[in-house]
Amino acid sequence: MNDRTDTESASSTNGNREPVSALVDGEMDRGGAEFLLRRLADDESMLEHWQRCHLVRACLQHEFEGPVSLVGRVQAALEDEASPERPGRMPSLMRFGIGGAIAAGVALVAVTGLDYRMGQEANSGAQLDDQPGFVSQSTALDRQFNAEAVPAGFGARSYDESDREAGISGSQQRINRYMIRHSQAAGSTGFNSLAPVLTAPAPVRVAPAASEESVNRADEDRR
Amino acid sequence: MNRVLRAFCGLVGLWLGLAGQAWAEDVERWLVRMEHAMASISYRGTLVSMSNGRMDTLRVVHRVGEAGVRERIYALDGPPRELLRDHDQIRCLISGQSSMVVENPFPTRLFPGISREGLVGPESVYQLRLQGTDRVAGRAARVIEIVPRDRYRYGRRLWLDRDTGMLLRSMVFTPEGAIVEKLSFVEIELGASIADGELESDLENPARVARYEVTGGAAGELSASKTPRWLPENLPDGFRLVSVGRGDGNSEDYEHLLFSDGLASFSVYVEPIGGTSIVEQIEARGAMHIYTGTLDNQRVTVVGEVPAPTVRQIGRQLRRLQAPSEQSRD
Repeated sequence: MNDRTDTESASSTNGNREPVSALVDGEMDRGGAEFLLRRLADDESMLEHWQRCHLVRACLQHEFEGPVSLVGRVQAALEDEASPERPGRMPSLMRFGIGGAIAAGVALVAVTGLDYRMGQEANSGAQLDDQPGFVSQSTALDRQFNAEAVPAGFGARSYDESDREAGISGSQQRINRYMIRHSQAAGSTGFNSLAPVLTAPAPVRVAPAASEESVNRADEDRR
Repeated sequence: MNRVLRAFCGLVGLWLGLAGQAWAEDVERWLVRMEHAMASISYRGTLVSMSNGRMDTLRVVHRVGEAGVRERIYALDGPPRELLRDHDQIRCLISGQSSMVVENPFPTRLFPGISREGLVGPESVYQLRLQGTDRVAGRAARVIEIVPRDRYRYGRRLWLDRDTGMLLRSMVFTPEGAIVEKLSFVEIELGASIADGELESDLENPARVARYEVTGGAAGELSASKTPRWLPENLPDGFRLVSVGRGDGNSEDYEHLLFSDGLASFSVYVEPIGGTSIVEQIEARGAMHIYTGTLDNQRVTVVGEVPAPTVRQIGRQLRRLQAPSEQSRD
């Protein structure tokens, strides 16, 4: 029984990989891409495969900026890999040549679609019709390329349990509210006090060396 | 000879002291001029903000009229987001979130309620310097620098329009000199004539607005004479409690303490959390740091343009002065 389940699972995983590869190669129509991206956000194994596909493509197109040895390893692995040709697929070189531009276009739609969906999740409610999704936010899909990226905020992040219960945007709304009230209370009349409300939040870890104890000590030493 | 040398050194020291004092007073005059310009001049411009490794481009439209200040700040890149100030009311509109309206519980002032006294003089927690001239957004600028004497606050370098005193560029830096935030106009039109249409939002959806206002009339108004229920055990040198306010409405119940050293300020908010668990954390928005923690079943939020260790210290050292009669002690 377990064997059967494992077999089904493996088959399902392989079945999921095909369309993901097609998405990365730009061989999927817009409706299919949007559907797949909705699934990507919830399926870690598919997401991992999506990331690997992009990594492979970046290596093959000499766009990868990581360790040089990795490029060679990826190319060697691809040469050794006996990948079944899907019916109707173009030769790989032509695929990368012609499909690259299409892939870029579809990726734009794809990431936009996912970002849009994340916005919906963050809002835990309906999305406004007149609110477009935008690409420049960091999403789950591009975090791999910037591991230390400042997390994109604007409601896409939660920090405490109560906020999770109340919806992710609740935390940011509360902080925005307090920032605005602080600006009002301080009597600020200029753009400089309000501009930070519109910037993306970044979590801060206060290093022990910069703790209040050390600050106090440093100040005492200075005196 | 030694006596002459000592007298000469004394005179040089006195001259340097007086010159430093004069510089500081000059800087203070520039600061007052800047605040007046920002509150009384209509302008529109494009602003670049750099902080936390991120760059944002914002458009600012600011109109001063008989009815007060109307302002629109909106992002030109990234997710659509806007802030709209209409006199006492600020609306925050961010794509994907409910629109938010924050009513100002206290009347808008032309000048900040924070006194600048204490910025100049031997007790000042800052050193104030004039740093020559520069050119920003095509305009001649006077540069002033405000350097903190300890690590509880940030320093600032300000580029002020030579003719009007308007802030054209600001840079916030740590006492060690690391840049925390830069804001700079790349293009600005001072004294602009601004039409109503420029101050209207593209994002607004009246059906989904979360409104936050302090009800109860004067109860929420910030006042220096109110007695706080909470205070930090220790305050960094120079900071003092400026005002106390409370939100006693049905939807909001919090205490708001405002502290300032004459230049930097931070607010402390204390509100009941109703049994939910909260993870202590600090978040940065540009040079602004926001600490969230808990104390006596209350959520403590410290918000201010001060370093992260400062907001954390204030949040952790907050103590209840008198328990409200309707609440039992934990």
